[in-house]
Amino acid sequence: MAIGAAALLIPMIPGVIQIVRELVDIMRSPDLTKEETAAKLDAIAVRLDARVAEIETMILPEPRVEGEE
Amino acid sequence: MRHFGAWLVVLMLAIAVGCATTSKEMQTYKGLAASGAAVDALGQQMQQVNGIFVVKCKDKSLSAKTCNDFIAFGEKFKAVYPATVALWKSSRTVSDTVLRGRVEEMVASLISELTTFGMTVGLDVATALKK
Repeated sequence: MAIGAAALLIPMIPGVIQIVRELVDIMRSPDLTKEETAAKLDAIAVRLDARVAEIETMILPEPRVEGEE
Repeated sequence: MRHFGAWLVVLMLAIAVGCATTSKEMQTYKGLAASGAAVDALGQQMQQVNGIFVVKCKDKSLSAKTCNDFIAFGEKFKAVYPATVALWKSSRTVSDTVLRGRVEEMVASLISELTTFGMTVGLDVATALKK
């Protein structure tokens, strides 16, 4: 049921398609060896490190003075 | 607004992953992979929402208060997100389900606030379209 709902939503969410697909793959995957498991988690960790770097350098909007709309 | 439907998908799948496993070890792995992917998606969503806010705050189609509230949230996010990732890594190292639960709590909390800002943008966009 969850997969069916996800399939309907996937075309609407381009930025998250890859992540959802990955989760579906994880769900369907047979049991992996410890080495394969470690490799997959390593890949996620590397991606998270890159994401952290992007978030840390992300430029927020310029502050505005309230009342000067 | 449509981006936030993604969270429903990610969370549903994270729950499903936890339930669909065949062994305790694999359950731990799949739970870790799902929570890691959710943390990654959270960062991606924040980048997308921030991009919208940068444009709309600059052209003043959003109120100063809304922009300043988002900036305050953004600064908090920038501080909390690396800590969330560090916690995920720790939960992986020690295979600690309590730590992993804490990661999921932090993600849920950030999602809640980010969703509020996303909905604000959606509402303001709708208002602008009516003009």
